[in-house]
Amino acid sequence: MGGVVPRSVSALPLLLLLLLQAERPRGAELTFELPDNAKQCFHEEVEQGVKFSLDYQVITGGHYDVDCFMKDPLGNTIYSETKKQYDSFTHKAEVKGVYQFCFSNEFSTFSHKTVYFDFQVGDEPPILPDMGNRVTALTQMESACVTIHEALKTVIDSQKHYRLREAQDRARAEDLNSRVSYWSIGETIALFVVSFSQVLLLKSFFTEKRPIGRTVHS
Amino acid sequence: MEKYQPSPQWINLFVFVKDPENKNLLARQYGPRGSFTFTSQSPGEHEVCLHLKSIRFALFYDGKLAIHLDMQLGEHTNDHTELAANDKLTLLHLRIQRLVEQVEKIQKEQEYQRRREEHFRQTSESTNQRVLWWSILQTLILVATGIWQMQHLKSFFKAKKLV
Repeated sequence: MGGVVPRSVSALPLLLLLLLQAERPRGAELTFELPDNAKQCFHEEVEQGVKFSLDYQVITGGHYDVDCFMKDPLGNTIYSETKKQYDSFTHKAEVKGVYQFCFSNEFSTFSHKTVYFDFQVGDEPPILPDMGNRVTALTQMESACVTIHEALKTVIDSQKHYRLREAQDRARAEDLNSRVSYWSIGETIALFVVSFSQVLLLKSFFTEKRPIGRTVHS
Repeated sequence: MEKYQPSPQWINLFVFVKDPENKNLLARQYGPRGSFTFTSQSPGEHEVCLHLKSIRFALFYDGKLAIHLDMQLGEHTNDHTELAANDKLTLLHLRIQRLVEQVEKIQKEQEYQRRREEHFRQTSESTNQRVLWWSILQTLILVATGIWQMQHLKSFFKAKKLV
């Protein structure tokens, strides 16, 4: 997953909660748009004793920072950070239930942000669902496959980070480009205004002031 | 989390998918449940939008909607149990198949990065050109404005018989 941006847009003031239910114990990656002064929450059902991890990164917008907090089913805040650009957090679920994590852009008045997050619950499932019950020794070929699989997972992971970095750098570059364009235009206008008013001002020094209210002598 | 009621049958969720060129890849209306697949034709940012346009909804329900979204990309779309059953593959074969899928994903990602770099290089070169032309233009404007100022003032002073 990743590289797809779902945007939850509603016509009327609806609060859309995206429930990511892990039918397969894997979790999800999502890149979504967070409007200014808004909060977006996600919920996940987690069993007791399962370890889960959340890492997130701000891709575009403002100062590239976001608030994030996470609550357990009892309402306790297990993680809370403000104005973070990226972070990673793991936790072992003590209570079974629905865990909630929210991203908040409420501190920003005009910059909407694009946030990427990766929420992983539990371990990777075995290649065939019924394999988990069998306990067999792996042949050399199979262990080699497992090793290669883990190594490739690392490669895919670092590629994902490069892709996010590239998207972020692109956003910064485009922001800079528009700022420079506006400044150039503004500077040209300022140039014209200043040179014109210089000439007018100089001319006014050498122009006699006409007396106000001339009386007509008959 | 608050308790949610099951969704009524008349709820229609409008789904549309946009490709990097802002063209609609998919635009359809679904009931309270639905599934869709699409294959990306070009690399880049795709947008998936879920839209609920219903005044009836806002009036009768507090305005809160819980959506279950399950999205799978790339090699996660392959169902290994199905593959194993259809082709009668051994476990080892399946493992190697999974490795092949992973390598294909890596290749696709590298291809994507290559295209991004190419695009970035083109943008850099065009920006470089534009900056060069703009600097020259701005210098010319500056010089022309200076000349205009001098000429205007000179004629003004001549008229005033100060020069």
